[in-house]
Amino acid sequence: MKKIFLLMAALVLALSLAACSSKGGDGDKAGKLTIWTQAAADHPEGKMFADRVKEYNKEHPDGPKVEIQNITRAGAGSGYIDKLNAAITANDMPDIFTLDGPDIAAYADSGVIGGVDPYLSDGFEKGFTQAIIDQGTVDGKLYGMGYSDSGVAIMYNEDMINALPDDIKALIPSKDQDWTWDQFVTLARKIDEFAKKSNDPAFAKYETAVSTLLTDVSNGVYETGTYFYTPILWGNGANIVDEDGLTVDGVFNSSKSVEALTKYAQLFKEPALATASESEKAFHSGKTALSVSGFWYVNELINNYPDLKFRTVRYPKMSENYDGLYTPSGSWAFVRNGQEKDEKRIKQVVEVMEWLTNDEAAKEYYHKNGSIPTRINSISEIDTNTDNLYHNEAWSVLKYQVENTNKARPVSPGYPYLSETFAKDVLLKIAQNKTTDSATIKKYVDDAAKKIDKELEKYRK
Amino acid sequence: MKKLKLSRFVQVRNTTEHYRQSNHYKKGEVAAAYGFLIPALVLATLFIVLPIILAFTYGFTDYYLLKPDAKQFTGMENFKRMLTDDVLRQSFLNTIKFVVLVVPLQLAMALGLALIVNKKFKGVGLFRTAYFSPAVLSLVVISILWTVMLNPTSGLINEMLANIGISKQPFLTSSSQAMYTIVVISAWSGCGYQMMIFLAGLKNIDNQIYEAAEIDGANGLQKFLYITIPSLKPITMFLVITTTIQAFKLIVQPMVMTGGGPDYSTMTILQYIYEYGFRHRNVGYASAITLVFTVFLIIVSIGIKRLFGEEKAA
Repeated sequence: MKKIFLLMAALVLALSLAACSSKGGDGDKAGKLTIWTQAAADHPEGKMFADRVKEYNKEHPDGPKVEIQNITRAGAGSGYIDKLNAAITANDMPDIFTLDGPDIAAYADSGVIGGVDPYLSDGFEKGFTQAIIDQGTVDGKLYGMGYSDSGVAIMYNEDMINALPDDIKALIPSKDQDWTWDQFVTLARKIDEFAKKSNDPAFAKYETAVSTLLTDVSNGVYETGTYFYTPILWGNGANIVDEDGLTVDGVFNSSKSVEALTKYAQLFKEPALATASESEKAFHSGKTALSVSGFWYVNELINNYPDLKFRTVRYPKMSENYDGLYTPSGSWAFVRNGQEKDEKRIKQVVEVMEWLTNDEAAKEYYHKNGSIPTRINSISEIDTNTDNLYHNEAWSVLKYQVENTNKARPVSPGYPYLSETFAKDVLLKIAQNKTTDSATIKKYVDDAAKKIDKELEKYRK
Repeated sequence: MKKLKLSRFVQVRNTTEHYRQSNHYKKGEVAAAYGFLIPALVLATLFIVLPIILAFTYGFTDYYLLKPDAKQFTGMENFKRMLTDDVLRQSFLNTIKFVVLVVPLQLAMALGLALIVNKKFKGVGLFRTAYFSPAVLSLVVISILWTVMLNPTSGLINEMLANIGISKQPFLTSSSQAMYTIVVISAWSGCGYQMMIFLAGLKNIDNQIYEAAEIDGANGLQKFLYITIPSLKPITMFLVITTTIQAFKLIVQPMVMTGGGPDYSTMTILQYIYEYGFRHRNVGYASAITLVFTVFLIIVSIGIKRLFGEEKAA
């Protein structure tokens, strides 16, 4: 027994030494440059990166050979992120990797990723849309080069709306009109009242007025909640965290936040217009009349639900008088290994990052994957003159929002916790408990702010 | 026959004693022994010993996943934080609640099913396979299927309840129902495996004992209480210990079905550790919780073993 313990102790020592000695090994990296991406190799996103890298290698035969590795993500990024974190611990990171926009601040704060602005070609940074620059910038330095933007709009079921009386139909704005959250809730309430009495076949499968996708939050994909509904705070001049990314008290639980969230809560006032446990693909399958929809719905509906006549209007503003940016945006971006100190190699790395995010790449990504372009010069590529009117309308709205109202999510090193707590302890709680009074909502945000504040303490040191 | 077996046992024992006392293993034999041991030792060291040592050391630091080289010793800071962490307290209580409910329910279901499939009737093999099948399914698959079936708006279960006049239930979306729902699903998915073990135990009970009891006028319930239950006691002990330990490690079902909600009503200790260690990247704090939970599990295991040990001795 004694010998076995000795043997195990020796093994522990040997493994520890092996782990230490493997740190910082440069190996044969000089001749190649490695990229890690969360996109699966057989997904259109994975394929578009593979094509882009292939083109780079072809046009730069004398440079380092660029290799791309696909580490498929699950849910909110787990799998890929776990592998990335393991690589950080082992100091074995790739030269370039992808990160979701809101994660950039935490990695930059830790020194895991490096700034790119000193190495960029003249004017390259200014070619990105403002929301993408804001998403990738931490303390004034650009770290993340977004390759795809996103957007959220409101969609409605045309068949259901056609069955409504004219006075309710008149509440729907056109694709070029702004509208408010109150108007959105009023419309939903009228539809719900009508639907429950109607025998029109358009309402045969009707369950609730609005699809909110809060089911994602119930399933642990918290970011969907924050991404979809932080704009209700923005549109009321509030936010979940201050500009410094570290202060929540007095911001997250401000009276403007509570006011906006109380209006959001009207969706869940009995009889509820929405639920946190809606059916899978509720809007797609004709079970809701309205939907808060991500941009990916457009291709999904056109390709997989050809019978659904969907119309698209802008994301509603919380306050009519608000004139700042307020619509959801942001997506994954390329970042570089911050441990790399060799200036020549950093230049090569940033050159590849430029190749992967330049105007041409943004156009290619839109055509191959429907990714919203991150480059100002590529937005015009969004085609709003196809044979499909639903496609044209949806993309007109999204295009308008990208050019005029998209806002980056908060830049904070504690964003994952911030986002999770907002989605779980406020948005979902309101929906599940059908809380509508502002006093209880104030308590929810106060409790959440206290928790977040405690968690952000470590970043203030 | 018995004499022969006994003499062989004595012979083997004497040989072992002889080797032990004189230490006369040949060098080749010793090398072979260690050769066989090493693969298991390497794996145990890598996946059990080393993580425990690391969790122990990290528990006393502020290890942040993105700054692995900047960790600093923080003494008892993480452990002090645990005392004031409301969600951790709730997660611990949720875990205890789950264990207390699922272990008796699952074992009772397993025993009930084993009694059914122990009967001789046509098609019993089919029932045995059907009852056992959830045990071979992935827990993730089971959790996703049940989530769909339990959807309050469009789920199959609520449709069935509506047919018998029961109003729609919120199930996983209600903080008062979610944990009970997970308990029932977990018991259902796990009882097939235990059913097979109970079944093996039932097959081992000598039929003559039942026949003797029948001659003495025992009815079905008496036979079950005074013959079946006592005969299954060693197997039941084994199952209580393994099911309890397994239940304390609950993570997949709440993670997939509720994400720990609503309102943290299904958050378990293991999920909380995962969330803190990986999602919030606070490895130091997650390690401290792991450490305390490991000690707690060791105490529980020893407690259960002693409880059954004492009963056995009595």
